[in-house]
Formats: sequence, structure tokens, C-alpha cells
Amino acid sequence: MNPARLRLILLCSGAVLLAAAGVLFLIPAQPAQAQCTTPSSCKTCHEIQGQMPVSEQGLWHKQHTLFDFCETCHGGDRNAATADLAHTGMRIGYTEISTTCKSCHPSELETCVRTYADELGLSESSVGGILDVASSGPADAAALIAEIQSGTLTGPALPEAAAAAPSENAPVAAETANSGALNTVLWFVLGGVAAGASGYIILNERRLKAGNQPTLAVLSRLAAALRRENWSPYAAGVLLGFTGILSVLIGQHLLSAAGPLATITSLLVHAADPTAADGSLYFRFVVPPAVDWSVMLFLGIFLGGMLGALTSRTWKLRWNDDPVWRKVFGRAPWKRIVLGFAGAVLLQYGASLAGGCTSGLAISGGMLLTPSAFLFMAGMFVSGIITVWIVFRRKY
Amino acid sequence: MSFVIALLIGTLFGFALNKGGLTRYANITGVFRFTNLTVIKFMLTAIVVGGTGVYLLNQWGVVQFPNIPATFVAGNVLGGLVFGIGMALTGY
Repeated sequence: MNPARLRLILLCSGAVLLAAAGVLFLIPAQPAQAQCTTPSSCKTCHEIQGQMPVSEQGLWHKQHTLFDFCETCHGGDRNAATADLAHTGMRIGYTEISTTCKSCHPSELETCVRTYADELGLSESSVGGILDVASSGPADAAALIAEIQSGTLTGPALPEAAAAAPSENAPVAAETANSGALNTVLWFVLGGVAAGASGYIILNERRLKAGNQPTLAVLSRLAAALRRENWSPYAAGVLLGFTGILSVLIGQHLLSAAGPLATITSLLVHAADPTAADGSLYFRFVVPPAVDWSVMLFLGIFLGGMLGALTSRTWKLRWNDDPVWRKVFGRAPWKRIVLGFAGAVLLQYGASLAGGCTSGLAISGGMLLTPSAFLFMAGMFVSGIITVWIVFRRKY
Repeated sequence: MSFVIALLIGTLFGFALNKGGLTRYANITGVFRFTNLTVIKFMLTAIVVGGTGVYLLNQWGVVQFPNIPATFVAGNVLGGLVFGIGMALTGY
């Protein structure tokens, strides 16, 4: 092994040990949070950031804020980035427990209602009344949410809530959303025009000084640089950084790739058999089958990669032509397919465990400087290095 | 409309990934062998540029941070370990 590589390995090991020591400071850390994907806005502001937490208010919240489905009972927009947008359409006080509990616990509804009956001050007759109404409530979570949003949800009011002022249950007034996004786009267009104009002026001055080379030569050099197959990783990294900024600024979402994959899985499951996922809290609430912002981003990633290959004329359907792979495994494509599948299963499983993959957790989380991103990258590198060492053996 | 924005941003993302060379087995395994540091250069540059931009914008009041990925030490580290095995095997 050449000394430069050895130095690099030692340096990285030192950095890793330092990071591991840092992790020890994080350990008296968080209450266990069952997170499989990015938490909702509700959870982020109220629980993670601690603004008006509800996790200790009452037995029900204590036992249920472990999960992340505030909007099922309270409405609102779980993905909005500002308080106003998130609280649009929200119901503040909520009393129709029979119908909401039923959507997750259809077969044990009576046990659930009785568990919280004491806390809610229900008498035996009230419990019976609630259970009677439960049998005629909405059949599942989707119907329930539709009823909440249309405001037609009815049910027995609890004794003490019946005396509450009616305005407490009125949804928060809707704000006009997203007028800011168009303004931002305009600023970017103006900025782009300014940058383009100044670039043109600078290049033109240079051209005049250098003795009248045709302007097209400069433009075609730029175009040729764009079409190169391999950019400097620094340049590509800057582009990705800007993409992340745009994503937060205009899209009001973070980049993510493992989340949409899970959502697509949920969509496929739902398409194959709509009732198959009924028993699974994960498929109904954590990754509900819906084409959302992240799924469109995912499609865009696929198209963008193809665009990159098309502009560099390296687009080709191929099974297995990577030289390093061939050196280690030989030419047979079946090995690539099998290992590719097995590795992909591990990739998605690991991403779900960690709460994101390299784009959603490492890059987007790293952008926001969350410890989770760096912990994830540390784990990724440790096991990646060991795996490659085992797989490559003497050719390492 | 937001879906169109998502599509465009995703296209930029995929384009950057492809041009950066992260779609190749040689590059991905190279960083684990310490011979080809493209991946780490790319990722850390993106984090620094993106982080600077987002924090600046936050300070100017233009954006607020969206849902932050939760820090759950065991989950993050374990997930990272499993993820690394997959990444080294497939090369993506």
C-alpha cells in the first residue's frame, strides 16, 4: 500500500474516532421517537423544537405522540413550513373520539374507549353511546380525513366539552398560500439575467482585448464543458448545494429519495390490493399511498440523470460494463443483478431505519447541520469500508 | 404547480449526480478504498454550499427550516451501517 493511501486511512480513522467520541455526548439524548421518514411540521415544531409540546398533556397524548399523525384528528397541513400554513383548516378542540380511534383500532375500539374514559370523565352510559355511534362512523382513515376537511364530521360531544364555546372547534381561517414562491422565482430570474449580462460583458471585454476571437467560441466552450461526461466533483457539489437551497426556498421541502421510494411501494401495494395494507400502521400513516412532492422529485431525479447522460452522449442501456466490477467479479451480468438486488434491499432498509438516505438525511440533514446526518454518514462509511475490504480481498 | 417545481428540482439533482460521477461503481467503491475521493468531495461540497445558503436565507428571514430529520442515535447509526453494506455492494 502506498504511503499516501496509508496516511489517508490513518487520517480518516482519526476523524472517525473523534466523531465517535462526540457521539458519546449525544447519548443522554432523545426520547425514543418512532421515526421512519421525515417528521411532520406538527411534530417538528411542537415536539422536536418544543414549542407548545402536547406529549405530556393527558394519557392519550402521552401514549400516542410517539407516532406522527396529528393531522388525522386535528386537520391542518402536516408538510407546511410556516405556522400559518400548517394551521390552515385545523380543528383545535377535538371531541369525536369514537370515529378517530376506530380508524386504527377497529377491532378493539371498546377497550380503547374504556381506557381513556376515566381521563375524559365518561360515565358508563356515555361510553355505550360512543360505542353505538362508532359502528356508523367513517370506515377508514381516508374517509375520516375527508370528513374532517369538509367539516361534516359529527359525533357525541363529551360532557365537559359540550359547554365549550362553539368557536373553539371552528377551523383556523385559511391564509393565501404560496404568493411568496412566485416572487422568489422572479428574483431568481432577475438574478440570472443579471449574472448572464455581466458574464457576457466580461467575456466580451476579454474578447476585444484578445483581438477579436469570435464570441461563439466562448459560448461553445461553455457548452462543451456542460457536455463533458465528468465534471469536477466540486463543481457538481456546488450545483447540488444550489439545488438544495432552491428546494427549500421554492419547493419548501427538503431533498429526499428513500422516502418517495417507500411511498411508491405503498402506491403499488394499494394498486395491487387496496385492502392489503389495512393492518399496517406504516403503510397507512407513515407512507400513505399518494403521489406527493417527493415522488415528483424522485421522477425528476431519474429524468435528470438521463439528461446528464444524454448531454454527454454516454446514454446506453447496459448490464455490466464497469471496469472495477469486472476486475473483481468477472463479466457475468447475473452477479451484478443479484448483488444489485440484495444491496438495494439493504439500502432501503437502512434508509428506513435511519430516517433517510444520502440525499434526504446526509445532504439535506447535513445542510441543516443535524447530528443525525453525520451519525448516518459515519455508520455508512464504516460499514462500506469493511464491506469493500471483504469483497475485494487481495485487490483492495 | 409545486409538482412541476419538484420535477425541475429533481432534474437538477439527477443531473448533478450524473455529472458528478456518482452513478458509477468505480467511484463509489473508490471512496471506500481511499483511492477515489469523488463521493466525499461531492457530498461535503454540497453540504457546505447548501448549508451556507440555507442558513443565510434563514437569517434574512426568507425561509424557515422545514421538517428536520429526527436525531435518534441508535436508528441513525444502525441505519447507516446497513446502508453502507448496500452501498458498497451495489455501487450506487
